[in-house]
Amino acid sequence: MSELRVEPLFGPDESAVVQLVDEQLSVVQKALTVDSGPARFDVDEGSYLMRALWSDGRRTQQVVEVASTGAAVQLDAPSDGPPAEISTLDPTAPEAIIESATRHSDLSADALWQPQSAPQRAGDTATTEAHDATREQIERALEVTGMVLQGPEAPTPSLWRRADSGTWEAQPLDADAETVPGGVDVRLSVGDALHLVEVRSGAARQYLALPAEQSIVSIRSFAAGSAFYTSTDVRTADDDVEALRGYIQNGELAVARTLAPEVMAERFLRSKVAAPRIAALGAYFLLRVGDLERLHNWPDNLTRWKTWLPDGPVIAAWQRLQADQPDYDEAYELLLEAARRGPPVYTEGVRLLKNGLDLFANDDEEEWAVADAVAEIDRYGKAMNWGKSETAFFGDAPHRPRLGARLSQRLLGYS
Amino acid sequence: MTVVFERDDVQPGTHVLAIGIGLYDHLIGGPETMLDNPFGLGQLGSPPISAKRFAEWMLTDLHNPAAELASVDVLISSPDQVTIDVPGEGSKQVAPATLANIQEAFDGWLARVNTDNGNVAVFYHCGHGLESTDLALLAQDFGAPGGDPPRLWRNAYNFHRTHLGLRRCIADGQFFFVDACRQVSADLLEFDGGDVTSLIEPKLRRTNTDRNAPIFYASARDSKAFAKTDEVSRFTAALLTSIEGNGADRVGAQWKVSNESLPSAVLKRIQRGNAQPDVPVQIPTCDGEYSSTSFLHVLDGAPSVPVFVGSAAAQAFPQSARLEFRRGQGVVATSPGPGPWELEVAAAVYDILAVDDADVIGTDANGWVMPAEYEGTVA
Repeated sequence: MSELRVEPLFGPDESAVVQLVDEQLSVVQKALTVDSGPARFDVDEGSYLMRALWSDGRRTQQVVEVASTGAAVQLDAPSDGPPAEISTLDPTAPEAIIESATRHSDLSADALWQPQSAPQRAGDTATTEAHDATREQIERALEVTGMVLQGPEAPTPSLWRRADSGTWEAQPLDADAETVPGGVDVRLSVGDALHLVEVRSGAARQYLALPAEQSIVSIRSFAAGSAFYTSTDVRTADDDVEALRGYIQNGELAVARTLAPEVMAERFLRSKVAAPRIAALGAYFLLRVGDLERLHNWPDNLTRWKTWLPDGPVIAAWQRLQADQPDYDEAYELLLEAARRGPPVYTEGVRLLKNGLDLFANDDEEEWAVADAVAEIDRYGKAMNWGKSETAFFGDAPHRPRLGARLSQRLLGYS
Repeated sequence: MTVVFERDDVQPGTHVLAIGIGLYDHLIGGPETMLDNPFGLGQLGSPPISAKRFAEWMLTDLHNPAAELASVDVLISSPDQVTIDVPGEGSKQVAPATLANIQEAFDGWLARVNTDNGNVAVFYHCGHGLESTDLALLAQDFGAPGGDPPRLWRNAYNFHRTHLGLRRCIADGQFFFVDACRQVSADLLEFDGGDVTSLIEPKLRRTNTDRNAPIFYASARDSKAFAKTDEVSRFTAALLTSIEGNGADRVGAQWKVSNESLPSAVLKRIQRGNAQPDVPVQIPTCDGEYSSTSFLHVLDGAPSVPVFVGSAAAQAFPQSARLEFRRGQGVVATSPGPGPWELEVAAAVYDILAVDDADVIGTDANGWVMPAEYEGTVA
């Protein structure tokens, strides 16, 4: 056997999964970071394809010859070009986010939206095509999901924050925003509290949980007849996390399984002060793949340190339910605590909270008082767009979810 | 129930339950009294064909040395009587997929699966689905009048809670394939899944925390799955093609299909199909639990891999050009024309060349063709 040593030449902000493919096409993969040092593969002499799947979604590959004395390869991150787009399966996925942002103090519809019928400048084909693309994306979403917001006015965003008392308070929306063809991208930074973005068109309203401390809200809309059809997407501003989500969405689970602990470890460590929502996202993935050991005590820390975040106790509860020796009493208390904190930030959290409460409601050996919590989570469940990664629901207010609110009353002919 | 195949001497084994419903008695176009509000749902041509295809593939092609095929139970609702061809045993008629039959078949399937934690459980359903908080899969007799008290959802079952309930199943490998629309209708505002029967109730205790229980959905939540009437559905076709080909990984000396290798292959095949003209967009998803690796199928040889090769040459290749896949001294596969080229070739390391007559006019610098698909460029 010979040793192939792969040395990282990149910085601490990057990581990769290195896949070594032999000529029989067997794959061995290892995570590679600066902190972990070189990745070592014990291999036979011969040719290998070395693929690097970078934490920001890029992919590189090269053929490596390993001699009987071994070989060493230095692996550098690709330096030019935008990150490879991890194609999501959402037909309404927005176009690339425009990084150069303008500070908007006025996020009213008039300030942000250009009517779809506005005359285009002669020769401005790129803009026209972009508009058409946006329209096509939303029309596809309408066709396959019917879950876009439909209202009589151009959509306007606003921000809500859940106070310690459990009430929702409107917040000033002071954000970087960029008007793009067919819509707007809004960059939002929020602190320690549950926050929801409201997108409103007439009486129709949709609410989306912000998935990170720095999030990007992409709103796309077009007018047809008297109605505006609006699609809203929220994503983190963290390339590594978005890439990880892309690998999961695309079914590349082995890659995600290898990459997730590396990507998330740093964020878990940072989470005490900076990134609890993203830490929760990583924990959900580790929970799904049954990697309870990697979770360590992070869910308990999230629960303790971020008393506003429902996702922490949801994850901590399932960590206990999935353990070899489940602790039902603690799991029960954690699920109730999660329900008290409001709707989880991530759809996965809503599902796990619902499932967990369901298990306690059906226990044959003990009565658990979960009916109120079940009713509360079901109120949101009925109005949710379950296809979103982040909790997204239609409603009349943050505390009044209602699926029918995705359609304005005027469009439904109620008035 | 219709157990069309069963072997008692296989332990552990793979146990299949396949359900396909095209006939809905009380929906639009059905033979019985129509439901007051049929949610716009009518009869389907594809599910009986898709379920039959799925079951017969399992009967003839499934190969898993660690858990050979041990039983296949099939329920199909169709205006015409459906038979399943069982190798060595001839054609067997199958029972319709009423909820009572589904429950009985499920109970029998679960009893067989629960005999060994090395068993592999395969659950397949093709038909109408409606989703709000949970996914309701509709039986043939959905919407039947009567019941005490009357319940609209009496003859549907809650798939999400059934999947959750199967945490009580001891088999570590559990594969779920749901080929159904998952649409939310404004008519369903009061539907939360709680009124829909689960085939097995979720329980808190004595659960299998080691299970791999992936769910392959033909469609994302709130969206549609597609099929041409009287043809195998897009999802089932992509699923079976992936199982017998590019859904495999090389494990030791064999190509094996697992819960980890299969998802991206199925998703990529359907995504590629979405790009075809006049094909409606379908958004398949994978969900469920993945605690480790469970194998479903082992291939006899190298899998067939979809290959997409474009040209980066400064000038377009002539119409007389062709793409060749060479291995050793031989040409293993060719595709005519100046590109781009699409074809399927067996996984291997090739010299991929654009050729005109005997002249090599372009080369793909990669050539390592492996699942789930290969994208290359000739320059």
